[in-house]
Amino acid sequence: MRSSMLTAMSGFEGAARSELPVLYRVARRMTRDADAAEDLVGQTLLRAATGWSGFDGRYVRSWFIRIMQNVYSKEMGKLSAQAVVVPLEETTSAPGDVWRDLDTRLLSSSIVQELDRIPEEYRLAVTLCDMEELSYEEAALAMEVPIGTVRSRLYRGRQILRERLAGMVDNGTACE
Amino acid sequence: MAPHVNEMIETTDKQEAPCRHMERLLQEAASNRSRGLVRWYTLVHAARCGRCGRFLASLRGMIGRLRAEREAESNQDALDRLAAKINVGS
Repeated sequence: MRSSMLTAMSGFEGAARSELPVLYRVARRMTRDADAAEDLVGQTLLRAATGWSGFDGRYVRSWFIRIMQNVYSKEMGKLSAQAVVVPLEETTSAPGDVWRDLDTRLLSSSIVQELDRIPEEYRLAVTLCDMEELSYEEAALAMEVPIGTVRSRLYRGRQILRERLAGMVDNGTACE
Repeated sequence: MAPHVNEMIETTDKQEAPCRHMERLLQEAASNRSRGLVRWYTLVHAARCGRCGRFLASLRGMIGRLRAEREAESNQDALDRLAAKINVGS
């Protein structure tokens, strides 16, 4: 009995250790704060350890992220700051020459900053599908929504991000 | 390798919509999720249609840049602290 428990927990440790980098990055996108992300992952691991015996063995990454999303929405979501959402009408396309000489590194960090400013449901879809390269099925399990919803949130999230980037360059903020 | 920034921005700045029936196909092709005949049709169309071609290049550039940022988002100190918590729990 004791040895089977130890075996199960070593399985959990191995899974948790290998998923840690992904969990931390997704937590960063959820919370938009490094300290809060670390706290969120810590709480997620605690919750996951107690529920490990009930895990069905399918898509361990999705399982961890789903737990993390539940922890976030129940215990930390109330404390998180609301995203500053700029209506799409306020973003405008940029003339071609504005883009030409921008520094790659600056623009890259701007992409992550702008991703953090889009509404949470779209941000999570873009993070899971584009940044972390989860399949639609994995993302659907993680987000607890149908695959069609993952697709539509992903498409919409990309559109918002794309228009924000264009508007940001038009306003010259990427160069600051 | 992430695409050069100009690949993304030259197309991002043109907010022309792609052909209506192509948008979903282009979204799937941009992240390499479509396969076979669907993918072939999408890429051939994008190669011949300026608006769809620019839309596809723009999405690919943005996704490539997001993936390139993934590693920069990691914080080894934080990961070490979290890994230590897993050890303590064993």
